[in-house]
Amino acid sequence: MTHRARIGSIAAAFSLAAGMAIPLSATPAAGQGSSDGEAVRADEVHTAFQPCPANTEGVEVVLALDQSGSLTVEDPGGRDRRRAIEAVRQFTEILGEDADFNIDLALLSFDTEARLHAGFERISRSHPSDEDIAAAIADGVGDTDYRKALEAALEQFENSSRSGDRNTCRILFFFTDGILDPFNTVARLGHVSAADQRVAAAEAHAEELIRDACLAPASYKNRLKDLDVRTIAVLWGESFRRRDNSHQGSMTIKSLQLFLALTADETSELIRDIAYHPACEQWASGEAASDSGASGSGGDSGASDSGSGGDSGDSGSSGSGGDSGASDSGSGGDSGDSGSSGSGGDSGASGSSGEGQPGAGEPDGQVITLDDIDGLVEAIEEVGEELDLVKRQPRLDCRPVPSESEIVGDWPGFAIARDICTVDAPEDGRAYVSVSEIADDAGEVDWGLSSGLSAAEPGGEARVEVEPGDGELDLHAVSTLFPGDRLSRSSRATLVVSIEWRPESDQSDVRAIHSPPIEIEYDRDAAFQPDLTCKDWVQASVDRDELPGSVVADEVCEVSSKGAGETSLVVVGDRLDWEPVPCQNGDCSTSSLRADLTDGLTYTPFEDEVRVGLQWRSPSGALLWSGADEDGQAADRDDLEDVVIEIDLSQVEPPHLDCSDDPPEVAGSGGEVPEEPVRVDTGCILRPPTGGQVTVEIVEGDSSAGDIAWALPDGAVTLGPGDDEVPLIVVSKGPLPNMRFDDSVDLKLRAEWQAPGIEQGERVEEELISFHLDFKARSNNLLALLLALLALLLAAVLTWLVWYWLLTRKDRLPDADRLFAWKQRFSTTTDDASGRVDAPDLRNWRSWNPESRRVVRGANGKSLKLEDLEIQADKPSFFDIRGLTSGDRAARLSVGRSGWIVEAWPPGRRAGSLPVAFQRGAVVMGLNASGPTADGAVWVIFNRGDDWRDLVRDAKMEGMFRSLADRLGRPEEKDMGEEALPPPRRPSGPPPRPERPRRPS
Amino acid sequence: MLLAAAIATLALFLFESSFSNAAGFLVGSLAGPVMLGWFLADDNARRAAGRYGDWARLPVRRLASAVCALGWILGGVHVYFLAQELTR
Repeated sequence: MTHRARIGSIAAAFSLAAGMAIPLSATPAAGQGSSDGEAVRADEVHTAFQPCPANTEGVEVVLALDQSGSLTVEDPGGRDRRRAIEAVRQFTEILGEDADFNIDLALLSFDTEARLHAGFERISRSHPSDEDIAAAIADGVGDTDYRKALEAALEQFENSSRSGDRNTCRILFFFTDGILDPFNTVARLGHVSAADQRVAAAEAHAEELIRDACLAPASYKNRLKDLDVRTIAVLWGESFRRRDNSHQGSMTIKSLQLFLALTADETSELIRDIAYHPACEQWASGEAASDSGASGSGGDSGASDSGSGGDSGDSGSSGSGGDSGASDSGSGGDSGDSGSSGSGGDSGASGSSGEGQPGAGEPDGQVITLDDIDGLVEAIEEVGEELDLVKRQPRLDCRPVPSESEIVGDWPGFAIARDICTVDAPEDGRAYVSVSEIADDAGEVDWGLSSGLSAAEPGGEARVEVEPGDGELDLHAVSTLFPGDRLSRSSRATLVVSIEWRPESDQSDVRAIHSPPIEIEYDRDAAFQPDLTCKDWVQASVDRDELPGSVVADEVCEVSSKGAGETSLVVVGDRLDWEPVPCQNGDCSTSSLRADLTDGLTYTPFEDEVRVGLQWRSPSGALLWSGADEDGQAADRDDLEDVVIEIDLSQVEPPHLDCSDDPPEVAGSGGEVPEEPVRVDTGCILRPPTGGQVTVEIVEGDSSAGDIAWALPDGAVTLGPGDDEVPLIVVSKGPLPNMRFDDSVDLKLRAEWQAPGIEQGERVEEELISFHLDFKARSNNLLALLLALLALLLAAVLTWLVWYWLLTRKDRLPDADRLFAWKQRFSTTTDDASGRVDAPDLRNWRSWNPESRRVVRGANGKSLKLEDLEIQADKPSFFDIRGLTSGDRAARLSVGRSGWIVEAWPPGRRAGSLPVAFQRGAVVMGLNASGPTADGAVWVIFNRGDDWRDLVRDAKMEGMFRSLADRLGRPEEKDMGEEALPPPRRPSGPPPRPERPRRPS
Repeated sequence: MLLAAAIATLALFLFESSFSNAAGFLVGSLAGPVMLGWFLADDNARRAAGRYGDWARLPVRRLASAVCALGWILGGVHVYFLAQELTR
């Protein structure tokens, strides 16, 4: 068996015993093809002991070489050891130019004492120096004492500047060619008896060394594990196989028990049959190191037994020792079995930084048995090869608990555990990263990986290929879709991420790197379950539109739906039956509660303790979670929201009958009695209550106007919450009688508030209102119109009579004393030849020489007389309103003797005895009817003092004169004139009415 | 006469309804026309004396007649209201 094979077999057991429990066949990558499609068999996976974890970024190696005197025989001149140390210096080829990956080496040798030849320093061709090597392999004379070597090595690790770096791989390469023999009792056994105190002391020393290595809190084992030091014990097998005497056998067993305890490598040829020392059983049993005290008691007892047995007698019985070893071995095997189960806890205890660190009972080293000391060089080279692989291999840095795990996507969604691992690409070869489930509560989902969240799809990828140059890759675990309604509230999965790496140098070498178990928890409720948050205290508003009304507590709870299924609330109150108010306008983010009030509630504020629970149903209707049953009970009070709702019915604002201080005193204001019922504004305004209802009615009425009944419209006014305030108007029952009203009315309004908790008649408000009726009886318009017309007619008649009396009381003739008259006579001539008649005097009035005449008043005083002319006042007829009111001095002229008036000015309406109007005066022409020719005269009557010529001129009398002359000269005119001329005046009777001469056309 | 018309108008507002209506009616529809007749008679007498000259731009007879007509109409309104009161 080569060292490589030995390492592989040891590491296989190492891995299984480490409790990672990763069956290679269950590793997805193990059964899947490589990048070139070649299938990788499970047995191809190299699971050799890997002294360094996957995340190694540097190495510290303490090379502890035995320098006891025995080596002067086994390795004379230190030839093989020099070759081994120089092989170590060859590690520098591994480093290359990579400054990030460092291998520090410390060189020490030991025999009875330990000697440090070179402290930690980056390994190179000059480190360790040749001098250091020479010193380390120089012939020694001392005995073999492991204690000094272990303490010196631990001191180096603990004092290293990288002692706290968890990514530093620490290797204790411990070479010895002989068993523990601190006092040289084994080699000199032939010279000492078994009872020699030195033998006992040597065995006691060995016993104490083992106890110090395993039991004490600061034991070597604990210190090595704290530093994560992997111990590679390289033993020259020959010295460990000798059992020349019981002391040698005892010391050999104790030496091997020490290495078994330090490495936990139970597969080594030398150790395979060795049982754990009772003081070190806890390192094999899998119990936590912290429990070592409990085991330590056993160890103590064992140690004490052994110690006492160290008395040569007991320990010297090799048979018992062998038996004991056999039995111990058996117990060790048992412990080993149980240790595997305990490794999980230990692995967990190792924490995130302890990735790859073996727990208690896990192999944290190996024992290499050399058949020949030449094998030391080969062992060193094996370590170098391993370190080379460590440097080139991909690195897997995983978190035992992901920073974030959640369920994403629509219901039912799938889980994503973000950043569970970071993979550094290998320097060569190809690596395949996969994930496997160790346990999954959901049981119905598979897991894959995703290297990018944005593209994460349910299930992810079965494996992720990583090639050199890919750099650092963050990996996320992605599950397949969850099983819908069967998804439990909270699930946990334990995953292991594995890397299969095929180094470029050896394609057949498939190396596996496994993460520690990664615990993923995903919470369905956190992803999909709506959250319910309720206020602690809410004051409800009272809605009493309909008695007894209800109360509403607005926005009591807030339900944050996450888009999966439907939610409902279960609400239970201590006093009222609450129910959620249905969503308004689709907004269900807040929920209000409503409860009907019951009779008997008083207006004393009270609180109702309400429990609100949430029920959540999946889109398919399955009840996924219920925070409360229908009675509002829940197994876990934390699932309920307690809300205290205060119901204060006293907050209800009562109604109010608000009457003005100055009510209307007069209704009607002197107007006529209406034909419809009278409406009177009382000046009162009724304000509705915010709870219950108020009714107003007239309870009393008193009126001086007699039996006039009054009422409110519709008998009474009732208002409730939400109604507008109304002015109160009283109405008479029926129209008032048609009569005069000047009366006062007193009415009493009574407003009663009715609401739960208010006794009848308890809340009454009364107002006394007074107003005055002032109406006149209605008139008869038609009759009034007729009477008015009649009165006007009477007034008109009376007026007219008065007028007639006034206007006719005096004549309108001018005062005779103020008048003066001229009389011009003229005569007519007849042309014999033509028979033409002419009145030349009329044509030349300017040459007149009239005679003066007086105008005198008549005997009765009602007329004026001028020679034969009599001018009488013209009294108009009764109905001649114009003539009556006219201011013209109308007069009637008549001729007293023969003759007649043929023309007058101003012109009257009728010639002859026509009325003539006096203005400035009057001109009258008359003809004498006697003779063949007619003589005539012109009378000019004018105001005294005036010039008659002015009168004639201004009145344009000249034309009138010529006109008369012309008419006299025309035969036909004459004929007509004769016809028109009246006959000679009769002695009595009025003269005939002459025809008015026709004016020449 | 103008004074009578003014009184008739004021009477609509100053006095008790029925009294004012009666006064308005008597003044406007009776006293006013009588006064107008009196005025016309006197005016006629003045004109008959031959020494009377009317205003050139404002014929007094026409003005007095118009005012009297207005007063007569108002008197008619008064008498209607009065009749209304009487028929209640």
